[in-house]
Amino acid sequence: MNPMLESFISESRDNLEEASQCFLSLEQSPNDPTVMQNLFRAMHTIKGSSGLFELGAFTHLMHVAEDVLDLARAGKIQLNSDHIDVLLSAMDQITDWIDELEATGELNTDADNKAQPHILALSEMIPVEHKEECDELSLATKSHQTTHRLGYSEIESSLGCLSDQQRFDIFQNADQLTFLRYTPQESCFFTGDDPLHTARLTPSCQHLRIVPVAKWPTIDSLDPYQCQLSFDVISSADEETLIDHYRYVEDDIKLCPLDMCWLAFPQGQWSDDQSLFSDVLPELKTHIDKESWHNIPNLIAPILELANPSVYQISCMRWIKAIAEKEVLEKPLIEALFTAIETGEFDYSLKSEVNSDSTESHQTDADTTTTDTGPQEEYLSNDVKTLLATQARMLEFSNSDDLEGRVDSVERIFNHALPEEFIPNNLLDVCQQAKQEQSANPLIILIRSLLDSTSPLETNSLESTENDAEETLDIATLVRQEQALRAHESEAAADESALDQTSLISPAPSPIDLQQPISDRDSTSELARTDLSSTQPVAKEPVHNQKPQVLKVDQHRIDILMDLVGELVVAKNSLPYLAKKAEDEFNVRALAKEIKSQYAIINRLAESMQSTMMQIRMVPVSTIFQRFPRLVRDLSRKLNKDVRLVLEGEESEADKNVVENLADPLIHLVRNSLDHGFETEEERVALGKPAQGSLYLRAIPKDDQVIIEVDDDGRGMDPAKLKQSAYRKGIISEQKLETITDQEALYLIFAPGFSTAEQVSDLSGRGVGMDVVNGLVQQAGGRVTIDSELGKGTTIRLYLPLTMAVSRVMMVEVQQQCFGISMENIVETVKVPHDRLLRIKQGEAIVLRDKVIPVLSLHSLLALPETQFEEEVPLLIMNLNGEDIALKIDLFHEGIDIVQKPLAGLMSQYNYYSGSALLGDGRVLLILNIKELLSCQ
Amino acid sequence: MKKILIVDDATTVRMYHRQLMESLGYHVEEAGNGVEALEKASQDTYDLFLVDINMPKMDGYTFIEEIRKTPAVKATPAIMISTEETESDRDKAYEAGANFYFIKPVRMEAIQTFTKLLTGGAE
Repeated sequence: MNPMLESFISESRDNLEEASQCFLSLEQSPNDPTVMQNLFRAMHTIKGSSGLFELGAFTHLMHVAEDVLDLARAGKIQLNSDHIDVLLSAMDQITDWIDELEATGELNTDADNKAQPHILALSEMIPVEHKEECDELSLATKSHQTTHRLGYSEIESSLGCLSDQQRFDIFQNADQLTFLRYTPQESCFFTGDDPLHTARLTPSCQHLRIVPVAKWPTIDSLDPYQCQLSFDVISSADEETLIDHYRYVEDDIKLCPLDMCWLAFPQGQWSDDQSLFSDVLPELKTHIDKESWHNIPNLIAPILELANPSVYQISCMRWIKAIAEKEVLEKPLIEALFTAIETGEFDYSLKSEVNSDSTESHQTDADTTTTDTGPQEEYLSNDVKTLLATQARMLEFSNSDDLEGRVDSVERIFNHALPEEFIPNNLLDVCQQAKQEQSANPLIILIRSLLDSTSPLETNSLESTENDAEETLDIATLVRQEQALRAHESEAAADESALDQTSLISPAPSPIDLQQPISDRDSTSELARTDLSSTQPVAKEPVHNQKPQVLKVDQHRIDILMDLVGELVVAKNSLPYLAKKAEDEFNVRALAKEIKSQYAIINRLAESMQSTMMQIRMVPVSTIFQRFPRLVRDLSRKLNKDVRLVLEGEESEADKNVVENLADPLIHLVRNSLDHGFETEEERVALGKPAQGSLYLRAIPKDDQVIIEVDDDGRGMDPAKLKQSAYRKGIISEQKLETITDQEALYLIFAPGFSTAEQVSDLSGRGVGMDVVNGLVQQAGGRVTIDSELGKGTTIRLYLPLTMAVSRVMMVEVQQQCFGISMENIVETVKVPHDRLLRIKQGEAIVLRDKVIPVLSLHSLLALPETQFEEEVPLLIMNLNGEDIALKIDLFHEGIDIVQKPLAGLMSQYNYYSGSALLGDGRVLLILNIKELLSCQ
Repeated sequence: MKKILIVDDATTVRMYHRQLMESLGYHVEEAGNGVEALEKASQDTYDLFLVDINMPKMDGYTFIEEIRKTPAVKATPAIMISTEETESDRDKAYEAGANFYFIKPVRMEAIQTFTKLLTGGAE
């Protein structure tokens, strides 16, 4: 993708994020000027940058939104929640577009249609009396804005299909023309449109041509109920009238004013016999040179009557006559036609595109192109005059503080911009004088006199050059200039001029460029250049710049690096084995010692590398917390519950993957809380609680974990209800219904298929329950706990590891086989005398600190032979879903850090292994998923 | 080689202007706001400032006003770049002390011509 577009996308995302936060804080404090200022700037930057990419609808929508904000900033609109709803939904559309841009590099064709409702909604916010203050571009000419424009290139082929006579008739019948292309939607017959009727009734229709949209399909695949036609209409009515006529199908029409000159091009058979008209040519030439147009018709008329109208030269003459009669007087056009008579080559179509507006812009062309070779001899170029006039204007604003600066800068510009012979001799003196008098007037007078003396054709130099300035800056003109330049260059057999190269760089100089990526044109040099310029900011940054530099890197690369570091950490563990081997097997003690000391160094490096790596991946949880103010706001408005969201500890950091995996469970929890947790305002007041509910979202860093709390002061969970509900749904047996504790009952909500909602609302309870939340958190290597007090509120805590890449497991041995068990669920390890194991019914249990804990044997779970313990039994006490169990094993080994890899191939279907890891000595360790194992029991 | 300082808070716009200017043979440096730009301007000499209006910390108007009052850099030409096209917006830029005014997005030809005039060419 174009690096500039990439930068635009990431920058706009940041700005959108900031904007949406500002919107939310504006809702709390509508008159905060700093927030307003930040918001405005964020929006303005998005709009401004989008202008670089010709994203019509995008820029337009941003523009309208900015207008609204501008009025709000000036205090002319008071933003309320409804307004902010509209603005936020417009920003959502912008976000969608950014996604689109990222995916495809361009906007979908329906962007205009999508923008329309937002623009309407936004413009409704603007009070009538302020409407005209807003930019015409965005509001006033709504209908024109949405009507698609056609370019000359698009209608060229259509004009070419007209016969000479047809064009001639149209030319003579009308003074102004509009070209309109009406492409009805395929399904238009079903919406009651009658395209042919509509097209035929076009006001002042001069010509109607019907063409198939695409090549006709074969007769058996043709669907006659679909409209496959497009209508090209030339009308002498003005655009307003036409748009009004087509107002019901406005989206389906495109139009453009048709320059009369576009019709005038000769057609016909070239005749080698020049005798018939060669007599008149010299005289005709004289008339053209003298611009004595009225003489031309009389001169040509006799020939036209005599000659065969299908001859090319006669066609030229006929057009010359028509143009001369009509006062459209385009001299270049007549000259081109005249040349065509002599040479048979009509060379105007390009020029007509270049200066379709007026001959004036043609002059500007000439000036701009000549500035490269230095200003013209006698007069200053228009550009220089523009510049000087601007300086005069700038100087008018001088005040005592900055007068010197202004005068000095103008003096410098004089020296830079003017050819030596034009620099006034007294420039230095005048500048001195201005500074002494503390007034810019002497310099202004000097500039004016310079402008007057060098522009003998112009009466009021300042005004006209100001106009010139606008004209030079007019984008359309500039694009045309550039096209002209390019065309010129290609004619000149593409020599390697600086101009050509530079115009390649400019990202979107014309619509043609958009369709064709820049790099396609000259792939090697262009790529190299882009590459260069994108790396330059880093390379050229001066050393003394102390600003912290931020590097954006593709996450994939970090992941690879992370994996490599993980493997390095594991691989370095083989060194101690090697040292042992050197000592034991080869008896080289000295070498073993050296290996060990080297190991210490590598170990230190590897570990610091690992921790640095972790830090790189750390992001503050605020990146996901930021979404919640909006979510809570929207939901509470929708549910009509007044809820205040308080974010705490959002600066706490965790691994990017962990934080990202956290988003979905959290959204679910917050939704649940708002939907089921909070009472309505009336209920709360009746219960004596504050009318406004409080929802806390906290992130608490603790050791190598981060705890996320979702804490509400709503109605809390009723264990009795939960039990009943679970029993009804067959999740627990009757026996369990009686024995289950209240605390355990809370965890029933994690059971698949459990939902307490009596009614499914559209917010939560869509079949995605707490079991999914629990699953997601476990997947991220964390766990969930619930605390709830009936009537007081609920706190749900997510315990998450800081990182997922390296996890800690305990190695245990069962029947000479080693397995890993994730440390997350292990509470403690104990060794108890075997006679303390109690036999209860079929199972075993142990009383540990006055608590009965069921004992399971890992042997039986893994279908291995049981071990007979003589003295002490090693037990692993684990906490699973709030329940303690003890696991009987043979031997404890150490806890180790591992990089867990998912099982591949056949093994992947055994989900009682959560993965495997490589040990330092090269062995593979299987990691057990105890929860799965228990459920297989 | 002549040096240009691009002052704009939008990275994309800076990137665009940098490409334009570098293709014209200028050496380019960037600043993200007026404060940063003033700091850079005090450490180095530039031949032209290309200044955006709306920026955090210090906007373009203030930056140019400051420039005109600071002896070391007061004579350096400055071009203001804005999205607004009205006469009053232009005048606001001139009032601040800008030597020229461009409308975003600036086009190759215009900026080529006028930077050349304002700096006397890239060399």
